[in-house]
Formats: sequence, C-alpha cells, structure tokens
Amino acid sequence: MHQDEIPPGTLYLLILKALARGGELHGYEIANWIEQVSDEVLQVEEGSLYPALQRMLIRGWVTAKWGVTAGNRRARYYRLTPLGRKQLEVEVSQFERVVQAITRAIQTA
Amino acid sequence: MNWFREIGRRLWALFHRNQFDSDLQEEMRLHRELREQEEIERGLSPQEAHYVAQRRFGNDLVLREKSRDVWGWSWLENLVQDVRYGSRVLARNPGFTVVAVATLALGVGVNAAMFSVINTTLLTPLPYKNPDRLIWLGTRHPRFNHPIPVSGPDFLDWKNQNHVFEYMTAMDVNGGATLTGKGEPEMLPGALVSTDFFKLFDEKLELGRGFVEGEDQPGHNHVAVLSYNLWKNRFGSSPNVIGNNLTLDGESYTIVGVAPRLAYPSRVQFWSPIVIDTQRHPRGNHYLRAIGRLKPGVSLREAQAEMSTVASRLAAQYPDSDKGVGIQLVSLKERFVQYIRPALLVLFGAVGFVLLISCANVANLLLAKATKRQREITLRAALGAGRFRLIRQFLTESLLLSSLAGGLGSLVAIWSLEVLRALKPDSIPDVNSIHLDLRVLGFLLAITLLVGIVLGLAPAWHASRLHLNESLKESGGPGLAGATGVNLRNVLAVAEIALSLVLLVGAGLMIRSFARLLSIDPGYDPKNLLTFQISLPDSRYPTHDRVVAFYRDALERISALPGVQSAAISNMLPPFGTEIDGPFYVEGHEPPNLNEAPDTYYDPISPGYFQTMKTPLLEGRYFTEQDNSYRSRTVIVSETMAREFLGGHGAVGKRINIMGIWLEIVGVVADQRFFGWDHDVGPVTYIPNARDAMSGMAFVVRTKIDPMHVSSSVRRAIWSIDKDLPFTQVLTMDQRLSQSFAGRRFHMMLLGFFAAVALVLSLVGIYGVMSYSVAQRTHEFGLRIALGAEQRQVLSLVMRQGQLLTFIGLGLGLGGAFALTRFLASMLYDVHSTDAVTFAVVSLLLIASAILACYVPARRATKVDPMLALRYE
Repeated sequence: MHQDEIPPGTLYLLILKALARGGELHGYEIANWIEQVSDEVLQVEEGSLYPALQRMLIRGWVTAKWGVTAGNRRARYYRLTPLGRKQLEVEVSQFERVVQAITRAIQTA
Repeated sequence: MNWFREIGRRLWALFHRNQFDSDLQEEMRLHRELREQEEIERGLSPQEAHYVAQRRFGNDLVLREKSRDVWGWSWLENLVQDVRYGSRVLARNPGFTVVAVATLALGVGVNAAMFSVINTTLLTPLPYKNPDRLIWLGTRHPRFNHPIPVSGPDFLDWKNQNHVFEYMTAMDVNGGATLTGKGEPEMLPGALVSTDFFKLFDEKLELGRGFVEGEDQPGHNHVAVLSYNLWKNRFGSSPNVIGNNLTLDGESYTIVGVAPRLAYPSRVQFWSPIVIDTQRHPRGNHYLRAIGRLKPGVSLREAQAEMSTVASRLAAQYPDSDKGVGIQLVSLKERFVQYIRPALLVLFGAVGFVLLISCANVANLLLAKATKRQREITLRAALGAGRFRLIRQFLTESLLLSSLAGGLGSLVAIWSLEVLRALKPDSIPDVNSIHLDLRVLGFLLAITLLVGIVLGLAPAWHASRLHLNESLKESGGPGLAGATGVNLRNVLAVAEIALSLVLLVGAGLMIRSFARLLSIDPGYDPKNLLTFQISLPDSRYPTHDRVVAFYRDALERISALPGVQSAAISNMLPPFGTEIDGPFYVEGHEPPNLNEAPDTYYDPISPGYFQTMKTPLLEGRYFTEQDNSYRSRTVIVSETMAREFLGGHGAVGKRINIMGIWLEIVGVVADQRFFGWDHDVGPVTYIPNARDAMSGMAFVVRTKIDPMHVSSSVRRAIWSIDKDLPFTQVLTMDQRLSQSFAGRRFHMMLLGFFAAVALVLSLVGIYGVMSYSVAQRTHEFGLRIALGAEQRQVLSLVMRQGQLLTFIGLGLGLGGAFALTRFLASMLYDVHSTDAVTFAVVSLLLIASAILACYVPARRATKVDPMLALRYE
C-alpha cells in the first residue's frame, strides 16, 4: 500500500477536523482517525501530533483533560474550543484556496 | 485578549514544567502501547509490534524536546544551564575571577561615578520652572573679550524696548550686608533684585510673598526675603517671621517672605529690592546682572536678534557710552556649566579609556583561558554543540563576569561619589546634589551589558575558528596555540599601551601646567600673610572722612599688635578679587571716544601696601603718607601697564587721565596676579586709599608668626573700634592661593589617578601577554638552550617581542595623544597641548615600565630547564 506524507501545514487542519467530528479524542484516536478517513493514504509520523497539540493548546484552539479510556487506562482527551472551531474554518478555506490554485496550475497544460 | 491568555498559559507551563513533562511522557507511552497492542492483535510478534510502534511514532526524545520548545521556555532552561555552567567555570578559577571582576568593577564604577557627575551637572536642567526659558544677558563691550554686567540705564532700556521677554530682572550680587542684633555680627551675602524677581522664577515662596511694584522706590525698599537656610539657622524655621524686623548694615528691614529651598543664586542669604539710581550710576557704569524669562515659544535666536536691534538703537542714541556695545544672550544653564564642561568631558573621556583598558585586560585573560579550554570546546563542538550554542556559552560566562563587575562597580561608584563629596571641589557646582539616579543606573546597566557582550565575543570568535580535527589531534600539553588567539592578544596589548599613553600624556600635560603655575612669580610673598575683608555700612560711615579715619585707626592698632610686622589695605586682593576697572588715557594720546580708550584695573591701597605684600618696586618710589589724602594726584602703575601703554621704562613722571582727572605716575611695581594665577595679568593703576575711600576693603597683615595665631587679636583690635563689624574670608594668603588652585589641582589629580590606573592595568596586560607567550614557548626555549643558546640570547629574544608590542603601542598612542590633547587646551596653562617635553618624558616612562613588565617573564624563559621542557612533549 502506498503512503504519502501529509502536505506541510495541514496537520493542524487534520487534527482540528478530527476533533470537530469526534468530540473528545486522545492522541492515538486522532492518529487513527486521520489514517482511516484518508484510506491510510495520509501517513502521519504519529509522534509529531504531540508538539502540534501543544501548540494548539497554547493558541487556545483546544483544551485538554485527563480521562479514562475504554480499556480503563488514563489518557489525555482533547476537545475543540470555540476559537478552535473558528480556526478550523480559516484553515479549511485557506487549504481550499491553495488546492484550487494548484489544480488550476496543473490543468493549464 | 487571546494573546494575554496565551501568555498566562505559557507562564502556567513554565511553573508546572515537571507535570507538563510527565503528562507528555505518559500520553506518548499510552500511544505507543495502544499501537503495539493493535499490531499484536493483527498478528505480529510482541517484538515486531514494539518495533513497528516505535518506528511509526518517531524519536521520542526529539518529539518531547519539540513539544517543550513549543511552550517557548527552552531558551530560559538553556540560559539557566549556561549560567550554572558558567558559574562553575568561574568558581573553579577563583584567581582569574577575582582579578577580572575587580578590574572591570573599577572601570565600570569610575565610569558610572563620572557619568553621574555629568548627569547632574550637564544633563539635568536647572531646578527652576521653565529652565529652558531662563536667559542670562550680558554686555558685549569692545574693551573686553568676555561679557560684562549691564549699567542701570541700559538695563531699563533693554527691559522696556524688547518684546521677547516675559520678565527681565536686574540683580546686584555685591549687595552683601552685615546682620546685627542677633549674636555676633555676620556678613550676609545678599542680592538686590528687581521686584519681579520671584515672579520670573515662578516658584512658590516657602512663606510670605515676593516683592511688589513700588518697593523699588527709595523709602519703600527696606523689605527683605530670607533664604531658606537663613530662616532655618537664624530664625529656627519659625512661621511667625513675616513682618518681623531684620537689622542689616544698621538699618531696619521688614521680612516679607522666605525663599524656596532652591532659589537663585544659591549662595545668597537674603534678597532686597534694588533701587536703580541712574543719576549715581550712569550709563557706562556696568554693575548689574540681568536675567530674563523668554515668552513661551520664543527661541534664543529670535531673542538674540531682537536684543541686538535694541543694542544698535542704544548705540546710536548714546554713542558716548554705548558705541560698539552689544548684548549677549546665554541660557542660564549654559552660563553655569560653560566653564566646567570641557573639564568634565575630558575626564569622562579619560574614564572611558580606563574602561577600555580594563576590558582589553580581561579579554586577554579570557582569551588565554579559552586557549586552555580549547579541548573542552572542541569536544563540545564534536558532540554536536553548534557554533551559536558555543558563542552563547561564552557570552553567558562573560555576561556573568560583567554583571558581577557591574554590581561591584555600583559600589565603586557610590564610594567614588562619597570621596568626591568629601573633596568638595569648587569647580563642580553643587557637588552635594550629585547622586545615582535612574539614568545613572541605566547607564551602568548599559555599559555592563556592553562590556559583557564585547568580552564574550572575543573568545567566542576565537573558538568558532577552531578546526575540530586539528584540535582533537593535539596533545594534552600546551601545544601550539591557535595563531589567531596570539594575534588578538597582541593587538589587545598594543591597544592598552596606546590608550594608556594617551591618558599619561594628558595627565603629564596637566601636571606640567600645574608646575608652571606654581613656579610663577606672583608679585608678592604669600608666606605669613593674614587676609580678611571688612565692609563698612554706609549708615554708620556716611562720609569719606569717617571711612578714611576708620581704616587709618584700624591699621595703626593692628600694626601695634605683637607678632605683626605690618598691615595694609587694598580694594583688590590677589589671587582673586572684585574688579573695578575703567577707561584711561595717557597724556598726548587722547582717544576720540572713551569707549576706544584702553582699560585699567583701579585699586585704592594704603601707602604701606607694597611693603607689606613685599611687591618689588621697579621704578620711582612707593606711596608715602604724604600721598595719602583726598587731594592726592599721584599714582603707581603695574609693570604691564607701564610696558603696554607707557613705553616701558621711563613711565615715572608721565601723566594719565582717569575719570577726567590727571594723575602723575610716581612709581612702577611688579605685576601681581589677580583673578587667579592662570589669568593673564592686566594693567593696574594703584591710588592712595584716602583719595577714593571705598567702604569695602581687604586687609593684609604681615606676621612674624603663624598668621592664624594673630587672627583673634586682630579681630579684637577691629572690634575695639566698632563692635558691630563682621569679618569675612579670614584666610592666610596660602589658603587663598590653594583655593584658587583647587579646581585645577582637582582635575589634575583625577586625570593623574586615571592615568596611573591605566598604566598599571596596561602593564599587567603586557606582563600577562608576555608570560603567556613564554609559557607557550617553553618547549622552544628548552630546545634553544639545549642547542647552546646563551641566557642573554633567550632574554633578548623575549624582550624583543615585548619591545615590539610596546613600540607599536607607543606609536599609535602618540598619534592618538597628538590628535586628542587639543581638547585639554582650555585646562592647560602655559603649556602647549602638544608639548614635546611632556610627550617625550611620558614615552620614556612608559617604555621603562614596559621593559620592566617584560623582564620578569623574559627571565623566566632563560630559566627553562631543557630536560624538563623536552620531556614535556
């Protein structure tokens, strides 16, 4: 199976989207969600989620709370803040702008 | 608002770093374990699953580092680490640390002290309201090369004809008066001022009121404002003084107010309204100081233009007195500091040099240390420390060093200011108000940082040029030092020598000009002379005869005292005195206009004055008692007067005209130095005091014993004639002289001290460089000795190297001194700022000391044991 690195700068977008869909998730769940929805095409270096999550915590896009997993283990659950929701829109539209531009560039033969 | 909360979150993370770390670790471990579990469920072996999970997760350590970086505190953690490491390095080398910190603290401290003097004296505005708008106005007169006071009529015209000044006030600071009726009679310095004087300064009086219109009319002017100090000391700060009476010169004055604590001029004890009597003091009689406050928005330049117009109008209107006369405006602040500024800036430059030298010294030490630490540095670089990280480490260490020095330096500064206050130099106005304020602290902080950065960069630059391979391959012993390190150290030593030479030349010039001053013949014998001033109040001595009789009586009684050889009076007394001067002309050389006539100082004296002063007679005769009468028409002139205006020899018998009266010259005496020894002597005309009786005179008493021992019997003798007369300035002539030299001596001592510090530091510097170089070349010297080199040859080898450094430094320093000493010119007397003798002597001194500093390490080189040196490899 072929795997691709995620385009730079889109990690926040993916995490924000994951949290917007899933509510409260911990890091492992976020990683799995990204993999699953992209049919395992997008491959994250899973550890890199964590520095990104830290930055999002500082920015106030997400909050974190310790909880217990189904397997009865302590895990840190992240949740989107209103600010994070707004940021998601910003990131999505930014991304779409870029993709459209690139698409246009490619199609102009 | 989000950025604000963001800072809060970052701070929270800073203070919960441990929890933050463990949370992250736990979270990451969970992630890997869940992944592992999943892989096992997919059918991998536990080992394979572990491996896959690790691989998919990435480098745990790096990720944790990255996460920490996100919170933005890693620089702080690195800093703490660097500081800890730096402190350990400094603590491990206590000798180095103490020397370096002490050297820098000295440099930083004297700079901060000097800056606080400059800050208070030059940078801080006057402590009055609207200080920028306060202007001093003087008369620019064709007969003088400096501005002089203004006459009464001129002042009134200045005031009434201009549109640029809100207020203009006249002031007569010679208005001292004797306070009686309150203990011993005391001579109070006072100022007679225009009625709007206190309005001009716009300060609220401590008590009561300032003067009001009409109080400058005769009969209404007996009101006084007390100085804050007089009120405190003589009246116990009583709030009830207003309305009380004050007896000044035997006349009663009503106290109407108490001046604010900081009032102008600061030494004055009371103010009274001035009555400008244009009949008694006509135009051309310059005795008033004028101060004005500009209207808001008017610039000094505009005001100067307007006043120049006024001046030319007056010149046209009153050509007899005002032809060629101008008005000069200077801000009051500028007037205060214009004489001291050059000296302060020179001294500030000097301490700057001292700081540079101490930096160079410490940089040298650091470089030597960096070379020793070469292996450590190389190892760290090899283990992955980036160049930036290494530079940061050096910077941290040097900043640590400079911060210690800055802390100690602030103590040095405080202590220096204590010393300064104790010395109380006259030349620096208001020494007690000099203090360390925020600006000084800012300055201290700035130079501390600067020093730290500069010091750190030198070894950092050195280290960053290391070649890893070569350094690692080097043996543990003192191998070949990096060539760059040696070169930089040589450059620093040369710079130190050059800088200290400049300072030494400056100090040498000051010392030489001071010696010149001391060797001047003052025109009298200053040993065993008691001097004091007496001023007779007009109220009790209203007539010419009463004044003359008093002085005759007083001189007789004082001369009869045991221990007294003779006594005399004079209106002017060297080396500094009040000046009375006026135009004169020689018979046969009448000028068309008095303003174009030459000027002479004018000094009434008692007949025995020259004998008492032991001033040599050059021609003719001294005055006798026969000359001493109102009708007398005889004068004695000074040497300069005779030389410049009377054709040198043969002046006796010629006639000169002063104030319309023809006077015959009967003698020529040697010049006396008035107005300070460093002033050029002017022409002086002496007249018998009974011809022009002045109420204020200076007494000179020639004694056979220590002059101060007769002072109390002299006092009693005067009080036996008039018990209400105060004495002022009771001093021996030696004391007067040392007062007049005080400023100059003070500047010389300071500059000399800085130069001495600079010399010592630079000698330590060159000694250090040479010692280091000898230590580096131990092996080489051992080899040379083993191969048969004689001690003498090894010695000269090292000495030559030291001499080369010295001579390069000397050359640069001489060039620098040549360029810079011109700024000293205003502080020098009779010595040119490029005086060859001084330059030569100072160079020799420096060469001699440098040779000495090189000799010790050179000796050491000859003592190298060849066996030991060779085995060292």
